[in-house]
Amino acid sequence: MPDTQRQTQSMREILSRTHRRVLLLACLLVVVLMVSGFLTIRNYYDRNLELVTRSLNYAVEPAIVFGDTRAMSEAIASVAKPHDVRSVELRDTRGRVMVRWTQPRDTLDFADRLPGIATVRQDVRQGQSTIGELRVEGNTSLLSRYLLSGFAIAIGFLAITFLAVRVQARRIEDHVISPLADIAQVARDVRGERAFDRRAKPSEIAEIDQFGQDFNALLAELQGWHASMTEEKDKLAHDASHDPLTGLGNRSLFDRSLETAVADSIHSQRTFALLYLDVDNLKRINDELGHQAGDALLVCIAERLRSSIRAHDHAFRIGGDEFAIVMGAASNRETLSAIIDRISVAMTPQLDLPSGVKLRPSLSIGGAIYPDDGASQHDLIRAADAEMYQNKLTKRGELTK
Amino acid sequence: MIRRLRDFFRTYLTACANLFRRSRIAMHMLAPVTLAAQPLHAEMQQIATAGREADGAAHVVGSILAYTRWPQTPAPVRLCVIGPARRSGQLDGALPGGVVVARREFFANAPDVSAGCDVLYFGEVAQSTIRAAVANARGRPILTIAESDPSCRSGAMFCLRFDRNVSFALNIDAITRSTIRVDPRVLRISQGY
Repeated sequence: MPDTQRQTQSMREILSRTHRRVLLLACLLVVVLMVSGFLTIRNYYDRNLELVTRSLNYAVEPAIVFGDTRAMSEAIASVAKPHDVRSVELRDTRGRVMVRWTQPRDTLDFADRLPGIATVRQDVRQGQSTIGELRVEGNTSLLSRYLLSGFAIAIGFLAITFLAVRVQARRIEDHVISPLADIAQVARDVRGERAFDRRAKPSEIAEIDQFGQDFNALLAELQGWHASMTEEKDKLAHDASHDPLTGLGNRSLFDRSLETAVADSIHSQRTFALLYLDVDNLKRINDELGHQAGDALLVCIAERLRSSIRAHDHAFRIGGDEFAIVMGAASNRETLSAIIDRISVAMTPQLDLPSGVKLRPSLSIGGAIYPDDGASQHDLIRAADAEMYQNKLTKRGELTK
Repeated sequence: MIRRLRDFFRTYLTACANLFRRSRIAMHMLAPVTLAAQPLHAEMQQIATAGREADGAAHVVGSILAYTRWPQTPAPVRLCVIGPARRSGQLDGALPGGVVVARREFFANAPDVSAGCDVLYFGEVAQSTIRAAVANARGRPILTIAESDPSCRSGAMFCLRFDRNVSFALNIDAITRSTIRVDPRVLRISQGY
């Protein structure tokens, strides 16, 4: 099932989106704070300037009444100097400048270019009549200092937020995403390599560790199940290809074995031998002594056959009373007759049944060499079978004699 | 127009009075006689200076009065000129600063000028006269201004000074002792105290 059809997002994408939003929110917050702070401070700046202008107004009024320009300058200087005032202009009722007092601009005094920073204008009154006008410009260095420091703090705050967010993202990645990826990798390995002994590593995070443990338990169960399945399969395979009574290979196994032997022989250019063995009088034994006796006989024969053959020879029970032996490579007539002799020798001892009956195993044996006696499996079998039948007839003939 | 003529005539007379004093000639002699004894342009110059000083004096006095508070605001303010005061020509009616005065004139040796006066404006009178009048005025709400006492030792509250501009000194003790209140900002305008 292709996973690419589902729209999934990596944890990193989700996290980075969240972090971008957090940063955006932080920026917004900072901007709002700075703007509101600026507005508040500007408000106080305006009030302060208003107050200073009122003081100037009070101080300069008698000087205007007396018409004393020097007194006007002195009055203005005395009030303006200690306060954050950059320039004071005193105009008469016709708008002409009577006195101008200025201080050189502070290096930080640039905020008056911002919107909302205005010159304060007040009429100077004596009684009910206006005798002059004051125009006062403030020194905005305090305001500018606030803006600059606020800006610096904002940048610092944003930088810290950014770093913190990155650190947090890294931590999440290390502690959450990596362990999960490891567990996923284990799953892939188990699937890909059929390595049921792989297990997930423990994790520091409780939930992920629990998940890992549960996953490992699942894998252990899977491993056990697989082992038992394999065992059963092997057993079934074995049962399917072996005779349950004697434990020797059955007919189908024999066919396969023979086929393999033929192929090997062709490949290695070496001959091999096939023996057919028939148990004499099995039917009569079954009828007279019962099937238990017959079975016991068969088991005994199989055992003796097994002990008679060499390592790379294989014995099979291919019928009710028929056995076959496929001899390994490099078998010739000499080895064939040697085996036959050995088998005969092995069969000589009596078999004592638990019921007290004594049986003498008797086999009719026929052998054939490949490719000498038969070019194909079928021919080979026929040759071996024919010789075995011949052997049986000979024995019968001897008996009747 | 009439006022201007009157002012001119007054200034002219005070100028003559000064001349008479110097030459010890009696005041009742006619002015044109003395005119003939002086060069014409110097006379005109003196008259011009006197006019300027009178304007200045009126400005300063008017401003002082604007910043003075009597226990009961007199309307109009009764300004009494004591003795010959050659710069007092403008001190009548509405002064610069908005205060309206009613002018009265007295001879230097006039007795008890304090009654019926809100402001005493001393012209060229002896310091002892001023001191006596000031002592007499003690306890009453009367503003005292001296025209010819630049050092301000006569005991008057305000003493006018006539340099390039008309300025004034004030006597703090005199002011604080009296019952009238002067705006303290006037202190900063004064030339000394």
